[in-house]
Amino acid sequence: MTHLPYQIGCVTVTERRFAARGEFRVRTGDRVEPDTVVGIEPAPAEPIIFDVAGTLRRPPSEAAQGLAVKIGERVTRGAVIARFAGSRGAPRECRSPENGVLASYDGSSGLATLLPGGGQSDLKAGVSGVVKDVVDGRSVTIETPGAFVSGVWGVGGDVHGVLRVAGQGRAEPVAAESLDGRFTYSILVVGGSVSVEMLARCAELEVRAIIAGGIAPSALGEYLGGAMPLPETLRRLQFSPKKAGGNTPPALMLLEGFDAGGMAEEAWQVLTACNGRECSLFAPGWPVRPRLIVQLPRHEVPDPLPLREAQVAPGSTVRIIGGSDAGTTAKVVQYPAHRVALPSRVPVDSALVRVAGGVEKMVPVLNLRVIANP
Amino acid sequence: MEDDKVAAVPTAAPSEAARYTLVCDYGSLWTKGTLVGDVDGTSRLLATCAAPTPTDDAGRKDLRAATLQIAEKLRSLTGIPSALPADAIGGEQLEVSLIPVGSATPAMRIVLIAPDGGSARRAASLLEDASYIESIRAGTVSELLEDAGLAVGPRPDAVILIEARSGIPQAEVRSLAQLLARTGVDTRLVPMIHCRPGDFESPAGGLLRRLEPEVVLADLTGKGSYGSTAARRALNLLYSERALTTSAGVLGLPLSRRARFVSAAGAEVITAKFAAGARSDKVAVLDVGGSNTTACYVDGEELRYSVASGCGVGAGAAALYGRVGEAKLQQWLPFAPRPDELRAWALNRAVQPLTLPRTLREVFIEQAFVREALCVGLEGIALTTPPDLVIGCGALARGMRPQVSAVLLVDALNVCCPSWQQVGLAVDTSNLVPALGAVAAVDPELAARVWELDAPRGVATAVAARGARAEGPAASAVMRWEGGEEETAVAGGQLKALQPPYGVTAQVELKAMPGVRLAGAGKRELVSLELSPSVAYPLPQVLLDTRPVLRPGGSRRTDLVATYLISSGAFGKRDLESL
Repeated sequence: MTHLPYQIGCVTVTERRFAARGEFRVRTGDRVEPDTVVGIEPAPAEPIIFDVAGTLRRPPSEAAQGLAVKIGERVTRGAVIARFAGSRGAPRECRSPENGVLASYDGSSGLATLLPGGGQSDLKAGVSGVVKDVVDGRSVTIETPGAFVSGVWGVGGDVHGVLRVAGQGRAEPVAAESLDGRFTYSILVVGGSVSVEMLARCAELEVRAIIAGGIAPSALGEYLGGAMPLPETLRRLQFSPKKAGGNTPPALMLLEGFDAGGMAEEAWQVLTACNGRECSLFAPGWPVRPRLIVQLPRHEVPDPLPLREAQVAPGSTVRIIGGSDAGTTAKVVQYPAHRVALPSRVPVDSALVRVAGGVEKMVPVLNLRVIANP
Repeated sequence: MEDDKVAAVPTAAPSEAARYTLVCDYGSLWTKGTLVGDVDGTSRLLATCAAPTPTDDAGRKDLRAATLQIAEKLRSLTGIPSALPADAIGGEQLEVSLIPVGSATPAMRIVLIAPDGGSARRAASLLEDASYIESIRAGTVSELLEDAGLAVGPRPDAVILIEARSGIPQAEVRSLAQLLARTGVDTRLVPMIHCRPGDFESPAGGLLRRLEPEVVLADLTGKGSYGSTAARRALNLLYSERALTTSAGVLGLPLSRRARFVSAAGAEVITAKFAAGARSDKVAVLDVGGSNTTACYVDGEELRYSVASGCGVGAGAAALYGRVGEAKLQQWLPFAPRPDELRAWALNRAVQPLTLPRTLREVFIEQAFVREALCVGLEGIALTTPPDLVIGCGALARGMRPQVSAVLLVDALNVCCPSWQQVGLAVDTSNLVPALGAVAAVDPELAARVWELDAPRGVATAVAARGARAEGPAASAVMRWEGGEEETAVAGGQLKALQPPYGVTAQVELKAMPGVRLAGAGKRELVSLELSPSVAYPLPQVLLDTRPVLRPGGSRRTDLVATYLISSGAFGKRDLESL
């Protein structure tokens, strides 16, 4: 299912899951902020292996018979794990070195494994909203009325902050030197594509994320210190500490692609409408698409709609991908249309679209990204 | 995408007892459906289709949605299946039984433990090139215990312990126990494979007996290693079993009772072995996919295969670019690319892999990537003996005309196996190679029957003529058919397509000019071929290659590439002039 990439007046549902199982601190109906700890999960700790047979001074098989705890049972620190009542002297005991679960006992070596109840990790909401549902121990879903923007590529993890729009238009690049302390900790929206200077300036200002139409591969590569961003850098930005000045690099979200210019007008309008609002950006890395969730006050979004699915149909607004008119916005005139042959002379399903100026052309359906339904 | 096809439709409506087999090949980009069943008492390919593999916003493949899409497409083509119950398991009472294939489920992360670092690296390199393996973390017990990523990261999907002449030292048994506890093997959360020679007794025997790992008789530690195939097979089976339980929705579909999730590469190997055996030929199968490139070669009992995981022309385009580099890709282009043009193409294709090339420039760039993917695959199997038949799959079969696929295959052979002299070229437009390989794992007789009648169609017979000067005389070709004859002089530096009129059988005689070696024939010896149209080989042609056996290079590179592309018939002069 593909949603329309730029929506306002909608409600976004975000699911937050424990890696394994945990305990939630929120209930349905609770309001949360991005830093709200919605749950805690025991953090995996180093298993502790201790010598039961050696402590009891018995062969492993005899020590097994003295186990006082079943495998899988929870124990506290100091609890007796095994006991051997010898014929002379006091019985010998082997005690648990920590709180945890007795995971196993190896009858050939006499070693036991304890999974300690270690520290805990917090699961944060990551987004502002209201808790819609809690699945005990597993996941929580949070509803956020407001706006939703989806990109084609993003990297840098989950960040949140205030959305700030720099520049005057979607296709007008922003000079790096024009950015100042007002943009610190923000999620910055810029027109045009991102330059090396812009990336460096944003790192210097501790901008949390940059949203733009595109970036030239050479610019990204140069900023990362290499000639070409290799596949692993599609997943995460590898920053040279010198370039970034030691600061956390900003996350990056592209709305059009590499080597692309400005974003679509529809995207620019949604983002400028959300200027100054709190938002959360999720950019876990390729192949997962990045998304931006903006919370708007209820009185501004009284009846938010669920995210709408994209439809290719007459009247849909689309962005063309690939070709000499890549990045052009068009309107679908006829779909389905008859198959047309690509330059490779392979026939494919196509749609008839109309671009600015009234020119109509056949475009393969796979080269269209729907940005507005009819 | 291309050609959803009906190959044959039963003349009678399917009865309650009729059974059809649907193979769904879940690729990273496309899911290909192949429907096989009975046509008037004969097992045949019925129809084939493809649809983009749906993903959710988290990037996970939805195999259930993919299957239902395929079923719907097939139903509109053939009326079969009349219904695909979504909540049934098993195929005996159903119209269709489903066999899953493919690499759409997440690849596995492996931890490999070895007695020493060298063994660990050697073993990892033997095992890592597989589409079902994402990564292998290899090392000694102490190295892995110190691995911070292993301590705090997610558990691996499997652990492999390799031992041979030197096993894990007795002093490290306790540390091994700790490592196995950390990875989850100790508590049976993570499966373990123990690779060891048959007569080897591990110092950690007691510990291992309790854990009951799967034992593979192999020695992966030394230079004379053996058993890597068995180890890969064990991993493949593990992946198959895991894939069925971790794939979203597959268990809710009518899986054949004997089905297991076969990797596409594994299925292709099965088919290649069958094809080689049936023809008594040396057969190579080359599959350029969106995310992986698979190559396999069968010559009698000899089998070689390689999977370049992550390298493809879809989501794997950026990885492919990173692996082969700008210079190699540029060599295949009949124009000089702009700075950053190929990089941008690779990155954009990786993040939007379903898009199609809309200009001729983009077509040539895509084909350059396909050529280099083929080279990566062929280098992986290190061909020393040229095959008799090459079957192109994946990108070669979809989104590309067969004449173009033939040119790409010949180009890749020139680079990686330049000693080839005469080779048949076929293209698997019906996705039968992986599909029948998966069927064979369940019903080998059915697979054999379908292959016999519906094997991938031939595109051309390529013939090599070496030693000609560029634009100098290379060979002459005389083509004779009933009622006609055609004589052609072929110059050096060309890839000349010779094709008789449609629907006729023709005899082709090739004669080399002085100084030219033609397909291994002696001086003054003619090379004779018969071109006979058939269902499997409807538009036969000869591709006579008089180019030097080198990658295109030098200052006239773009002209040379344009020349042979035009002579091959794959593109016209006007196409190249428009660039």
